Amino acid sequence: MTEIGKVYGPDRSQFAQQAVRLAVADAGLQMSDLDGLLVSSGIAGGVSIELQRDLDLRDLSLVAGVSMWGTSMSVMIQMACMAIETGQADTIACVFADAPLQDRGRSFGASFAEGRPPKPGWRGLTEAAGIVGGNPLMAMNARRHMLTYGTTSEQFGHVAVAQREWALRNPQAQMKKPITLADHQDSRWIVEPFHLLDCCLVSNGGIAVIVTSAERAADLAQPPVRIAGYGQCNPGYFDRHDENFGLVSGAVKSGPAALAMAGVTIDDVDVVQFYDCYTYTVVVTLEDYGFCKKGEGGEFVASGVLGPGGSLPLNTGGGQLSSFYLQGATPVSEGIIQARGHGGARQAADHDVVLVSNNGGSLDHHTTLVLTAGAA
Amino acid sequence: MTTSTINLGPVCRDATTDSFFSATAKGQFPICRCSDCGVVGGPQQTQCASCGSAALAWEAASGRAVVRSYIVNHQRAAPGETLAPVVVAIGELAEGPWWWAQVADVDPDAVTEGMRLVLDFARSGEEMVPIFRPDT
Repeated sequence: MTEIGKVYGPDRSQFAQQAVRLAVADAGLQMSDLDGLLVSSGIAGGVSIELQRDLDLRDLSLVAGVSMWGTSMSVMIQMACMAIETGQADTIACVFADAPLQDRGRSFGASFAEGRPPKPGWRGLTEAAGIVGGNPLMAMNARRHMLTYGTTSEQFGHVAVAQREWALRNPQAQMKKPITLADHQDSRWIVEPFHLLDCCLVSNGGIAVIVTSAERAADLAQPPVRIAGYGQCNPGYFDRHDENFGLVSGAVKSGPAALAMAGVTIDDVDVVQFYDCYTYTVVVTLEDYGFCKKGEGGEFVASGVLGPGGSLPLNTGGGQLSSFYLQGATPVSEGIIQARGHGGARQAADHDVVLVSNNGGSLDHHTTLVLTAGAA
Repeated sequence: MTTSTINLGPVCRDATTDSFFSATAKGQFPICRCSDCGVVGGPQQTQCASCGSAALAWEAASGRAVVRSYIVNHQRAAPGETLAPVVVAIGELAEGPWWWAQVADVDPDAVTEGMRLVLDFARSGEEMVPIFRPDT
């Protein structure tokens, strides 16, 4: 992990280079040990397979760019597992980097929306109505959940407050001050039903994960973390007419697939890391993995299970809401930290089985990873 | 009571949307009916979502719709300076397809699931863009 947050100077590719070098060193490897490189850009683009040249990596047997939005990091890890299992490669760096914050003092929204020509095709019509970027798309999903199940903004607020409490125990988190439910309710509207404190942060930085065989991992510098199971479900772009819109995510299928591969059930999971682009995303995802019944996610998050001292250690670093937003690399990195037992003041007491869940697009893509502590 | 306003961004007619904007210019919202199986899809369809047939015939939607979800965009001219809110809804057309569009002249706090809407059109540059209004 590079320095992450409001970090100016390095461009996206430089963050990606730094992240790979740091991860290789962290594992106790040399750059020449890598024989695979999987890369993914964030919203700002700019990280490509040219990273191989920038890092002067030679004779790699696996290189690919992955463009799966928020699921990219998990998809790269899945691809790395398959490549290792089939013998195509042995030690693969999976890297995600983003640098949407380019100027001090300017919001990303301003940088994003300013002076853009109309988009071609149907996308142009949607954007003309004001559906630009993730906020309105996910707000539309969230509102449908509220209309259908009676979920409330106050219930979303419980997610924001709990994760801020976790972030206060994470020295790498961007947000350093506690918040209350009232702060959440009083924060300005972004797109109703989302207040500011329902929305993830914007961050610059890079994260790389080294995937290798269990045999090799056992001899490296860090406690090994096993990728015991993985699954994907891509429900499709269901904005044209789909009864599941806003109510059900791909986790209903990717979750059971990954848990079955790992030979565990949801009751065995000790620590949970979810994609939390918005508070709502946590609510719907909890339902889809079966932590509570469909439609009861709002009541569940308001019941005190979240946050330090709660019964469900979820987004223990503060998540994308309060720690940093590097898309799917946020849940993955915190999942690895917890499985290693390196969480410091935020470490979950039990961390044998860690569930990592990522979304892409507007709930169009979903991936699950089951991580277990130890190489065996 | 605050009433929503319409604030459309620019649009551009291209090969994909040419026949759509030709229809909206005449006050029609075009939907596609499959000539083989009769299933209706939105204007974006290039093949039938049900049977895969590319034989689609255009027809004008009735203009009736109901709210399936909605959001309220709070525009800011500058920090602290608020403008009239913009409501965007997913309207389920009477024929089935969903369409995302701004809703004119509605109290944002009064929008409900299943609320009845009618299609209308508002100008953006050279083109007419579909919007919704409450069905009063």
